[in-house]
Amino acid sequence: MGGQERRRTLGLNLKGTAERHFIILESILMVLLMVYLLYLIFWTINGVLDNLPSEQQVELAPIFDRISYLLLVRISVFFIVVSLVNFLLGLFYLHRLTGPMVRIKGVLDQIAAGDVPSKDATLRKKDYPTDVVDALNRALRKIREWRK
Amino acid sequence: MKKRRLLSFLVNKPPQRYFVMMQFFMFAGVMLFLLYGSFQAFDQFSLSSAGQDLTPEQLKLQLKEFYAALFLRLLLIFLIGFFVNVLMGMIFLHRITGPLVRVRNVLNSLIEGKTPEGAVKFRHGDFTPELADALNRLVAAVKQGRLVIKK
Repeated sequence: MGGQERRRTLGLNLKGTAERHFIILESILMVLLMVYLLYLIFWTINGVLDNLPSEQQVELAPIFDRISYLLLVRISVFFIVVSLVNFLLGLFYLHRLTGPMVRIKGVLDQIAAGDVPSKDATLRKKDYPTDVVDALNRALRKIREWRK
Repeated sequence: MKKRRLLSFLVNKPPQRYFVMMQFFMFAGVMLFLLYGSFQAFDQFSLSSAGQDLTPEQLKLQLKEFYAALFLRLLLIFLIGFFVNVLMGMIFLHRITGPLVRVRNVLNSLIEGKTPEGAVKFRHGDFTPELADALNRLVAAVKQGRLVIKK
């Protein structure tokens, strides 16, 4: 990353696959959250108003109190559900980054202990840091060559 | 065994803990701003229509303006929430992917026959510092040439 680009992106890598997928995941989640929340607010207000006698004039204060109460309860429940979904999706996403780190560390420890694995290291399908595992496998092949 | 593999993404390690905490504060912040923003809009509307006697149909017509104001407020809160969340997420991810880039570079140097001078260290605050220890042990083993191919 060049100096100018580093300054523009605050030194953060925005082009990596993992980073791109995180942004896409958060965008989809936020858009869905906003659309459903708007629907929830409008549905709550219309639901309260639809239950009133249509031709009769009504006092507004108790209606607004009722709407505020329903909105508070429904938005809170909605946010708890969304937070749980976000935690699960996020942890599932993180697993694809941290799992390979554990695997890579295991292979490095094994080599450092003097046992060079005869087979290449592999990751699960859809794990992210494939470039690191490729480098590890190239290093493994090189070490095997040295030993011969 | 199969059940453990299925739920293994729920492991409670530092990156996962930080992520859950970060998302919790993020969502709690967005929710508080959102409730504050929507109730403030609702209060403004109720004050402007106080003292009026309206039928539900007339009230629904008046609410159209309130819906537009609410939509703009929510859009603004969500945009700010989204950018803050992405920025915090990127900083968090930087602390995970940074060490991986460092490991890849050291491994590439080893392939070229160069060994790093001094111990490999990650930045302060990076996750999995134990990966640096494993890498340092590997570099030491390569330097000493005490490796055996395991069949």
